[in-house]
Amino acid sequence: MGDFIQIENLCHAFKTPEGGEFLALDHINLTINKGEFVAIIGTNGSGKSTLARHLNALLLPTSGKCMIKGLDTIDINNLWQIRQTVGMVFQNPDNQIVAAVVEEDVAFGPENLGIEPSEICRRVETVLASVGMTEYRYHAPHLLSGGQKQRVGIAGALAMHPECLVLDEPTAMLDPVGRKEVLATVCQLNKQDQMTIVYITHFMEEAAAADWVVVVDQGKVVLTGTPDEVFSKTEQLKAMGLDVPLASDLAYRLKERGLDLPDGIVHDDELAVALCR
Amino acid sequence: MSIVLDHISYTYMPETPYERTAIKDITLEINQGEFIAIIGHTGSGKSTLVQHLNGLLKPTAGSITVDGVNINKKSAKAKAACRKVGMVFQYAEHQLFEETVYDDIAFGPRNQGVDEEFVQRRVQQAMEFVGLDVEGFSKRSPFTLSGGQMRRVAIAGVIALNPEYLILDEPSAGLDPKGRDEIFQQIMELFKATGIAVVLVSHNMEDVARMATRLIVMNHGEICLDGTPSVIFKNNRDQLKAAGVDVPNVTALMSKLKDKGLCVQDDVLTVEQATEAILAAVRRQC
Ligand SMILES: Nc1ncnc2c1ncn2[C@@H]1O[C@H](COP(=O)(O)OP(=O)(O)O)[C@@H](O)[C@H]1O
Ligand SMILES: Nc1ncnc2c1ncn2[C@@H]1O[C@H](COP(=O)(O)OP(=O)(O)O)[C@@H](O)[C@H]1O
Ligand SMILES: [Mg+2]
Ligand SMILES: [Mg+2]
Repeated sequence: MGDFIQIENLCHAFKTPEGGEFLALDHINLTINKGEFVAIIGTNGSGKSTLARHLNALLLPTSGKCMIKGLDTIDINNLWQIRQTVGMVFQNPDNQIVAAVVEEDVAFGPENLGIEPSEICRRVETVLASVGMTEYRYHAPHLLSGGQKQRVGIAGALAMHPECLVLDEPTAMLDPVGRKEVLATVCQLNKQDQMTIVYITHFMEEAAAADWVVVVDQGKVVLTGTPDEVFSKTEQLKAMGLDVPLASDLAYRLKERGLDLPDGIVHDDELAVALCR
Repeated sequence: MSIVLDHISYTYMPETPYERTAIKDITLEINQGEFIAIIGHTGSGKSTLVQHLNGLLKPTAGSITVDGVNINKKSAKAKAACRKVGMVFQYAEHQLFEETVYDDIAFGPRNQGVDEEFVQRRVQQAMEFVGLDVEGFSKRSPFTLSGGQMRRVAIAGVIALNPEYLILDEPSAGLDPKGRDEIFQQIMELFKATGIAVVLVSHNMEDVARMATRLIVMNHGEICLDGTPSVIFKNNRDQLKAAGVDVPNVTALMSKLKDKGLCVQDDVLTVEQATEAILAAVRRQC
């Protein structure tokens, strides 16, 4: 069966108003294994959302291949199974709400699939529990906080029983509390349920929680590695218009000033340990 | 020159089961030359408050004047006064509606009745301000842009109005790190060069600490703290916590280092200050 997500020489060209083409994805090669938590970072317009939309066949390659569980997204016969396998969560939680009550919102997807009511009921219960929103099941979604809405959005995606969740800047609209809630939920899904996660973010501290970080720049994958490896490249990332987590930034500045610190500091605790030896 | 809020309150959906008083009895003066940051947890009333500053929401009680003109009375003077206030909404993409990026940014200046040549200059300046390439983006449809690009267009549309009061409701949501820094740098330059008033609603405490001359903390629809960022972040940590907001991450990191036994000063607000503080502490230890 091969690797879970297999992207080979993937290109995507959009038509421009002048009748030309704009190459938003330029020969992307990427393999993501089942159960991995991959963060994607890159500046605005670098192609992150375009890439994400290929993962459940919302967009199709103009050339190259995007294979999900060995299924080619370009084959229309695979569409249903691919959408079932890969769930999407977008940036603005308000645009994803469809029902007036949380549990109905979560049930919406499975209902559309024609799944039987007792099974839907079971799923709603399980997924609300796994995002920590059980006590809100009878609430009105539009009155929830941003973090809570986004967790309902995740529950809605989970109710389809996907094997992979793609989250496109799910925390961009949230306050710090909401961001922590969403990241904690995603980490738990990954660790406990071995859910494969593709997580797009501009918050480097969030990317640091992933197994792998993929850096996209002008439609190309320019860097991949563990957070330690990627965030050691402070200068390269900053030149690209990106950033590093706070602890990495401080470690970099301290090293520049002559302090002897190890490479690969990403988390606050690692900096504390290194400084308090 | 100032915006004065006099005992304003606002209730959403009054006399329905969903009735909700979002801000209560707020009195506030926003002066030209001030860079005011407003912080507070989600739902504390920040967006409701700032939407009063250009007359978008009318207070349920109390009154608002812009440069002495009551903006809630229907009059030509009130309309003119509101035009001095430029506002970038929290969901900036809802602010876009024209067919091309150029027309979208030109909408405000055109409405002010200036000639097309002048409009063009304003649009170009505004696009440069937010880092959008004039050639590449003018003819694009705003709806084919990436989220961060849309946000830049929305900010440019407000900058093109030459506002005397610039209101920004979480303007950096969805912007990449460099885009954020560059736009804030531009706003700082504009602020210093012109002495306009800037009101910034933000969750980024580093940005707030670095830029604001005055910090307002909201909690449950009321103003609970009003002072300079350095004093509030240093002296009012308990009240900040009660209001559900954090100190800057770098301040929190320094507190962690202190807890782990490194004798650092933990009242720093920026990465630069933290670097110096850590170096000083390490040198003292050796
Ligand atoms: N429908 C479209 N038509 C034309 N260009 C598009 C379209 N969608 C996206 N683009 C362009 O493709 C590039 C990548 O966009 P996107 O993937 O949304 O970036 P990101 O998510 O990294 O910010 C951007 O320059 C964007 O303007
Ligand atoms: N259009 C609306 N209808 C009803 N209630 C609203 C509306 N907008 C905001 N509220 C409520 O008013 C309160 C303040 O919201 P808001 O001003 O958006 O806060 P903030 O910007 O600090 O997150 C919240 O309890 C929110 O649920
Ligand atoms: Mg995007
Ligand atoms: Mg708000």
